Amino acid sequence: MIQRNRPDPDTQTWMARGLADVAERPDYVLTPRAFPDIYAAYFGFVWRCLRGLGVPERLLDDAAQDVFVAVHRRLTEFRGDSSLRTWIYGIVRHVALNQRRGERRHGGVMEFASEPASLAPDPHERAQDGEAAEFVATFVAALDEKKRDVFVLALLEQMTIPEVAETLGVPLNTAYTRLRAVRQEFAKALAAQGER
Amino acid sequence: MSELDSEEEQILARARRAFAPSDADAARVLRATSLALGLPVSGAVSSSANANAGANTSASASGGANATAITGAAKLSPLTAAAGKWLAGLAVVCAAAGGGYVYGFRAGREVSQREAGSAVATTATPASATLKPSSAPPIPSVAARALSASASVATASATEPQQSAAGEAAVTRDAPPTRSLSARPPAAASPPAHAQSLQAELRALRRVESLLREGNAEVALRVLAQLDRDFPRGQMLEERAAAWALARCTRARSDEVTNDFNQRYPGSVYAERVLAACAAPAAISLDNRPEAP
Repeated sequence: MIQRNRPDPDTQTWMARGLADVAERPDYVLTPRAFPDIYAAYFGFVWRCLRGLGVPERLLDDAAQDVFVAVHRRLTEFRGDSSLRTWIYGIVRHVALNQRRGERRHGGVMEFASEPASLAPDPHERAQDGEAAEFVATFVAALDEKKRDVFVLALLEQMTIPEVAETLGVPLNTAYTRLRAVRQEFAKALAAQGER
Repeated sequence: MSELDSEEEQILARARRAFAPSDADAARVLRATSLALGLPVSGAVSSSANANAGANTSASASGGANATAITGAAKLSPLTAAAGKWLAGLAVVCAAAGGGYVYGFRAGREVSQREAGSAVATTATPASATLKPSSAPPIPSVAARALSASASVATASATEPQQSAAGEAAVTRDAPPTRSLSARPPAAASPPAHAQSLQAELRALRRVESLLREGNAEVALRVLAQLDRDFPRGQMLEERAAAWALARCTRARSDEVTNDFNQRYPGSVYAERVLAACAAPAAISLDNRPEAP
């Protein structure tokens, strides 16, 4: 079990921290009673990860719903073998993957995904956020699955590399290698964008 | 992260901000999820208590299983401040391609399928144990009312412990999308009428929200008119009225619309959004703009 050395942005309330802590206990069995807490603590994480993993905005509701339906139904199976966030991310990945497969099967409408709407108060800021998000979404869509996971967890979710390694179930060195590669690709893509 | 230069960091920070969900997103998905799971919840919630949700949650809760149900629901509000922001971002005006009715909102379909197919083994916890919005005012009214409405949907969600998460997703993914606002499922597999109404309302309001974000008020108004025709006595009338007001004011600002809305729904969480959309530009103060996440 890997110790968190930095609080998750979604789990900064006592409630979420407490939930994460108990979820770390190997003998802890979560019940559907905990679902509202889990929803509250991890909705942002789920939503952002789904977006980062390329689920188009118009399908986000369905995808997030799929994730939480699965979380609710499988909650009693969670035994603390991993952190709750890791466990949820596994579900998020499956759902995102199925979304992408479904999109391809039904004619590939990914290209029509609307640009994410920022909540920034200033319209100019919002527009810039939207452009950045579009750039990132395009970049992520071109990555292979392994790098995409690392990009989403390490660079978008700002998880530590040990956490990323644990979440993905890969050796630490592998996670570092993938991160290095994806950073280089990101920098290259940004430079190429700047030249246009 | 130190290997990234400042421009790269900035792009990532902006993307993070754009990827963040709004409070309305959280409420809407909770509502749909609850509906799909048949989570029974009772009690309506005063929406005006949303503002201090975070403080209340942190201060009053003291741990334990009984408290978590309440605080979990309450935490929804601080996700991004106020449920009234569900239509934030109206400034984005694009030449939206003619709004096809392609937004698949599967909650209804799933519910009807599960109701038809499932027999017992409910995983839903008792209402009092799952969510107690009446004890926890901070939950956004949108979510609270959805949960309240879904309470009467006696849906038994089958437990499938052997099914993997991937399988779970695949099942739902294979469900054909629901298309028409007025589509009515076959009687044999159909959920109760009020559940159908709620699903249709949710579907329509999501579509309206999307249309308004694109600045497409005309189509939004048509969707709302269709919704009124199909379900004149819905369960989300306040949201519907807010959507009407926002759509009208997107087309042409009008104080009359604001006044009418405020009279019908005094103290509504949507009042601020309606005011921001309807008041003349000079009258809008910075305080009325959506807050940063």
